Amino acid sequence: MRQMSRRPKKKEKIYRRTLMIPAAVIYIIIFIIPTFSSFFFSFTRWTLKDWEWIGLDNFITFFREPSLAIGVKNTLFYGFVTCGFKVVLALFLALLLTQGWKMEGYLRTLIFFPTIISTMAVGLIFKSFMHPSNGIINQALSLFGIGKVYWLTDKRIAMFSVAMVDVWQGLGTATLMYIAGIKAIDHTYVEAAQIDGADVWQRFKYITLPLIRPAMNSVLILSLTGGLRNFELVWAMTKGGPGFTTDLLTTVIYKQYANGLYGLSTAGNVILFLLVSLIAFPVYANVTRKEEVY
Amino acid sequence: MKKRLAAAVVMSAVLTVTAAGCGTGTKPAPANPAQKTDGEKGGGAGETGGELSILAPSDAVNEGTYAIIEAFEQKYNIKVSLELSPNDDVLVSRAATGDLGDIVDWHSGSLMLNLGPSDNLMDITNEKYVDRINETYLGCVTSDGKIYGVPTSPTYAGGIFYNKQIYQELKLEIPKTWDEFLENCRACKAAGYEGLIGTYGDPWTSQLLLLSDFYYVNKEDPDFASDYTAGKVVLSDSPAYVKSVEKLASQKEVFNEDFLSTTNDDGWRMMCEGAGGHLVSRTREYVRALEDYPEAEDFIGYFAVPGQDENNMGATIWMPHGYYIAANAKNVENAKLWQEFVTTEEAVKLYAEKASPMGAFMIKDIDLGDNIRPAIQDTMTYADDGRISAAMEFLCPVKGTNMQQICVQIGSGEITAEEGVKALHEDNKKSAEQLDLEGWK
Repeated sequence: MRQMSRRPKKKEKIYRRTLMIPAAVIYIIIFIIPTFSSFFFSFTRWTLKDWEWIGLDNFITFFREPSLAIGVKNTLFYGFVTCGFKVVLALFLALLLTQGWKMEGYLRTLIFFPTIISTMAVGLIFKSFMHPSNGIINQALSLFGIGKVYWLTDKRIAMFSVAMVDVWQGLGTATLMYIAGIKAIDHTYVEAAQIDGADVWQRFKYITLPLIRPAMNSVLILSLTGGLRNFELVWAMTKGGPGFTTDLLTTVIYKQYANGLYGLSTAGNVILFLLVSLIAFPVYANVTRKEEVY
Repeated sequence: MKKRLAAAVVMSAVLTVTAAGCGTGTKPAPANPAQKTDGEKGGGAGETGGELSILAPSDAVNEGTYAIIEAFEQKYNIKVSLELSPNDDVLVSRAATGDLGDIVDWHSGSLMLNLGPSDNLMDITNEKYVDRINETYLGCVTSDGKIYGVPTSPTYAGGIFYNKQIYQELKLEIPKTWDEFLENCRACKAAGYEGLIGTYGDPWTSQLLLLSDFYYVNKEDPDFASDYTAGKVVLSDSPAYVKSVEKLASQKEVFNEDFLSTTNDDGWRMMCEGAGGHLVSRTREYVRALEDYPEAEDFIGYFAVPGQDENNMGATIWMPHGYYIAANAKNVENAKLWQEFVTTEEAVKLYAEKASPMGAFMIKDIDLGDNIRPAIQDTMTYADDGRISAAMEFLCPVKGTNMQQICVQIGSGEITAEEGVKALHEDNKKSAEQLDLEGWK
């Protein structure tokens, strides 16, 4: 007879743990070990045959050389700008698309469409759009009398142009997450508020905004970490150029690896890892603290 | 008890299968020398047959290469599979992981070292056909005293391509100094043409001016390349090198407006359509562009990058890529047959017919015939007079990896020439350290 009250605790625990072992083994081999070994190798200069300990040299080079340090600066800019735009614009779009319009379903599909396209394809398409003479953006602008804008080659706006394309592509997912969050709000709160005489703005501020905090946090965290680690879009549009203007940490890492400077590339990866962790964890802790569940 | 045992058995089975599945994954490459032959074939090499795989960067092959492959297939009844890679970085990784197939087409000179020849390529020093190759070229495919490659194509020259019709129209003459050249560019620009077409949309073209100017560095100090390799001097120690970088910086005023977004193909199109006066490039790109615009042959000419002294103008030559055999090649005999075939007059003639030579071949005793395009003939006058030098990467293994980006920065005015020289040297330093060169640490 089964005695589920006394013995099974130990049995169940062992059963659960042993089932976890295959996944744990794979995780350790593919993620944990390489992470620690790259910490080690970032302190060396290595080739595929041997390595030489050089201490902090790789890191010092990374921050001293303008061509590498700009990667760190641009990554921070890119991460925060794309995140900021996505969080705000997607909320606005989600509110629009939950008003009960007839075309809502079609519009939602339209908004989500860019996310499905391969990032490389988006990058290449917008790169041709942004060509100073032949691109349609400038051609359209010239109809309004606005002169040539060097979207991808002007030092001051190149990084911003790429960030905007990223926002264009990422709005779909973010909007969808917000829509899910908005739809989850219990309509009784809104009705109660309306009875009490709250206007649209007050309803938004006191009901919608607090209750979609979970969705907003998800959008925030995902956009931030995704933006900090972006590679394909920048690579497709500018390859980090002209010169080093739009280099992100990820493109710098790739270029160092491609040129055989493996130690430098590993150090870059460690820096990226630390950067994302140091930003993501506090942000995550901070925003989830404020989540309210009614 | 039984449940736990069963669970343990199933789990170990799952683990084993997963591990086994991850282990395989090498590509099958059967060499089949006993393949049946159809009919008789000419050539002295009895049976042959079998396969050969060639891996090449996609911009390295042209009609001439295909002609040689076809002739080779017919002569020896070997099936050649050509794999093109759009990306140089991939080839370096594949060399390191031993995934090169049989033959790989790759740069000679300092870039050859990126493939790790002593580990990944086969030594051919003792093969007979090596005797047919020009010594200067052999020096560029040698590492640690061992020879690895045979030339794939002719040498090519770097310099300035100009529009002869525009020159006639504006009554311009071939400039003998750099300042005269800038004057000509300004004249073209004033007449409504592009003065100098910049193609920084493809960043690698930005370094061509700097690299094609090496003749003057070499002339001023023939020991500079070896001194630099030994870490005895820095770039700013060569006044000619500094002048080359200054030339880079002076291009901006005569560049076309969109030079940062214009690609190499765009630039050549503009040149072949007669929209531009000058374009800095190499005969290798010229020949490829003419495949699309054959009529442009009539009005495009070449002159070397001018220096300071009007009596001393010289051209810088690039050594061609080499065909190397992978150290772990499966079809070694066929690979050696390929290397030998490529150095015969028959193959060279086929190549020259289809691809029109871009310069002199690095194989001895070859008669090229008359099919030489006008711009190429222009380059040959420099060779005939002895006013040529190999590009720096063939005389010195140190080449920084960010050179193209730094050149873009200099050419677009983002940094000054002086800062550029310093940046280039710092960049070279990283490569030298990675290569473990003495004198640099």
